[in-house]
Amino acid sequence: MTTAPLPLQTVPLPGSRRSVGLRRVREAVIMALLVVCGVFTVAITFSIIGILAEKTFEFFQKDQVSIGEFLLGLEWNPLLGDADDKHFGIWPLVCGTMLVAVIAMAVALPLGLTTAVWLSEYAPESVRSIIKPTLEVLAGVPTVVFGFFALTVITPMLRMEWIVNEMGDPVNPLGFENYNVMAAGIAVGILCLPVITSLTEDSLRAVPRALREAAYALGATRFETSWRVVVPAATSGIVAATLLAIARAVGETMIVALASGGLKQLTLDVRQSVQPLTGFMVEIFFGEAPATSVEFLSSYAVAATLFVMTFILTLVGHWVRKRFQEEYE
Amino acid sequence: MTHPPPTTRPPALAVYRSRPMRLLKDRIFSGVGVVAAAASTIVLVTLLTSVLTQALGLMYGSSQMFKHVAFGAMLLMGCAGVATACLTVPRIIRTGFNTRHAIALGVGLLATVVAGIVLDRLIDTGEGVNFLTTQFVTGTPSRNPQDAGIWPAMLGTLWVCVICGLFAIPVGVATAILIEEFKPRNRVATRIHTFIQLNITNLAGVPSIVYGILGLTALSNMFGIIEQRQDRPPAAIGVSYFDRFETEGKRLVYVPVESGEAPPAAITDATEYQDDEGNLVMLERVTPEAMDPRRHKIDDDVESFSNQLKDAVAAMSDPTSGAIAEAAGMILPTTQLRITSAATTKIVTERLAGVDLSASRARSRAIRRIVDDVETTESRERFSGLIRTDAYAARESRKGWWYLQAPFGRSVLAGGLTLALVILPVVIIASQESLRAVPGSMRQASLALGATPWQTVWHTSLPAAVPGIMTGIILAMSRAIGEAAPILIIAGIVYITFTPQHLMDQFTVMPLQIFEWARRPQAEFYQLAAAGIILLLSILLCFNAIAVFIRHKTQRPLS
Repeated sequence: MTTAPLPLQTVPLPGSRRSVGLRRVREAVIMALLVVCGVFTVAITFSIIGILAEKTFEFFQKDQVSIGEFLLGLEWNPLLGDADDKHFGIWPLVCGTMLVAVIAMAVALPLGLTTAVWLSEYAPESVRSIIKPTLEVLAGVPTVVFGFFALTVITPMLRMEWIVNEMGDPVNPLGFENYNVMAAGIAVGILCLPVITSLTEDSLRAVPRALREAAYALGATRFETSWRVVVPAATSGIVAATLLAIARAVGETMIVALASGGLKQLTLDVRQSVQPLTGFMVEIFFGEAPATSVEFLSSYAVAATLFVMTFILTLVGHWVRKRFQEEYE
Repeated sequence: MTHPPPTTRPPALAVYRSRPMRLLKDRIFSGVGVVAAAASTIVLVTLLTSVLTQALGLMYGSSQMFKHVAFGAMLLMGCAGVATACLTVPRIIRTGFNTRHAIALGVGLLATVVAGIVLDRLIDTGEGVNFLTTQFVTGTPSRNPQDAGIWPAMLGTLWVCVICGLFAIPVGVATAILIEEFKPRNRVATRIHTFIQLNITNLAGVPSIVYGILGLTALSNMFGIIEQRQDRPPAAIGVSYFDRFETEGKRLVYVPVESGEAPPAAITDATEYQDDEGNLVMLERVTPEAMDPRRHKIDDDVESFSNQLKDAVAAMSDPTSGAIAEAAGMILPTTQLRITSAATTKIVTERLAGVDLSASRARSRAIRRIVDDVETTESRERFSGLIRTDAYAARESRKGWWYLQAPFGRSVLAGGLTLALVILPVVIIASQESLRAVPGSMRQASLALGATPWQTVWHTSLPAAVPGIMTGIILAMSRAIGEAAPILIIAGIVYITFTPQHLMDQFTVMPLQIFEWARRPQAEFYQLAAAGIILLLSILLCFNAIAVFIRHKTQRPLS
């Protein structure tokens, strides 16, 4: 009886059959592709800057426009009237954006920071494990939803439409307009709330346990531990989160387009309609201004202003995080 | 010389304050924190419930705004009550009944019942119209809110998201790999590397409307480099042009032509042409003078048939569809109408099958329709090969879904690619974080086995990071679904009642349609917007659920 000899089998190693040269070529090609992708992301930034700069320059070439008036002028009036009546001073729009951002932060910062500290330092784990994911899901709610909420719930509440006179008409005791900055600002604040809470909570939890334990060992209460040890240790993260939220509030478009109306005026009266930068851009692009007209080009100058504002906020946030980040371990 | 010991000690932390005071402060802040967390949650739940109640027409009107808050709070309370009760029951089964369980169960049930009663009182179903119907999902936008639907916007969202994902995911993951896995060693490369990283941080903060402007200039207009000129056709692929001729008898034939600007095609004898039913027909060219007598003949025949049929039906005491069809079948051979009578009878019967002929108006209308049909069928058959010599050539184009044109214009492709730019930083940052979480020991092991850097990435780091990357991608895609500002700039004014057919088609997306409805003053359109929001949020919730599921299923410790 003869047995067939067992075939001598070799297990092929992945890639072992291919030549080294081929492998090197493949590596080089892949590396080149990756670099192309990396360069592409840089190209996006440069295209944005290039486009905005070129069109803004073209805008300043127009007769009705001067850089001095744009930067210092207190009247923005590109759509109505004759060519002589048109004014291009950016401040009314910047005023709208600032108002929205300030109101939003006034709503979101106290509520968001308190919630974050409570979630991180006080809340039982079971509560935290429910509220944290809920907030993260809510951070993904489209902004047009918040705009709708501002228009149909916040504005009627501000106008107190349940108070009516004998005729059944709303009295509107606080004098809020149908479209007002306050409603838009509150809605933007609600939008920023999950962002601030989530990011702040993350940076609070990143503070090492040893710091807390040391504070407790010195006899500090939970409140003292939170406010004198944990929060200062996480300051860089909190400031970065706040700056990110401000950048979001400044760049927020759909809410202000729906709720804050279209009046371009320089006022601090939050009951009135004041158009922010983004609101003006929506008005221009949703309308039918010809692409070479001065009002169409003005939207590029507005976009450039917006870009510069968010760019500075992002850079400052980055710098704060890098400069003040506490390194433990 | 020795220093004297310091006479005063540095004051200890909070030593001057009394202990009860400090504890009270702690308590107070604890309370404030609970209130803040509860307020945040209630505000956000109110947001959702107010939209929901408006969509369903349960509550509408400005005087009821506090009802929204109450509704949200009650819904929350009811859910919490049900959850408490449901969680307590297994514990009772496991450990036996005790006082704490009884209290928890009682409070849970009480909360549920109270919430139920209040909700029942709040909801007034007789008040409004429910806009969340299948008609709303499958319908198209309309000036009448009752008939309006969101179907074109839904398909637009689908098209845009597919394009966006196909572009943003590979590029984003590749960039993340470049930054995280191929860290350079020399100084210049490190500088570039840091710059790319900083650039991505910056891109993440750019407002989405600025990306819209980028998309409009770079994609829709292509920087104005490729200009559309009247005398030159636009550079395009995936499109074929036809000249459409109408033959006698209302049959359409299509003659392929070279380009959109080619001179009109000429019909020649002895050539087969394709018609609108896909048949090949030979055409005989006839001058208008020769055509008219032949046409008159047919008209007379049809007239004669219809008169006889009308008389026959009028004479009937009980004109059922069957009887009319029978009559038509009998009259037909007596007329000069030379058509296959079986076909005509079939048409007549089919036409009359669903028609109630009790009213005389309805009867005459039904008969007119039959006659029209007979005429069309008859004249099509009789005249199928005839075309007037002066027939007008109408230029038509057929576009495959891959149809591409050089400046993208206000197209689906431009919209999708712009959205890809918006979510690119999100994808990159999420992928970076999950690649960073892969322990270095795995890479070192792979490299030690002789794998090249790319093999290490492809076979080791990337598979380990895939769950995190997937979660990040899904969250980025849900952002893309909800983004309206850049699409608003690309798509412009929207009144789109059709779904996109090819990459260059006009489109709208759900958030933009919602915006369009919400900015109208009428209350019905608000409710329409609310219904759209509910649909959008349910889609997003599904996405988020998938993300959570993936994270849950695939999460395993790597180190």
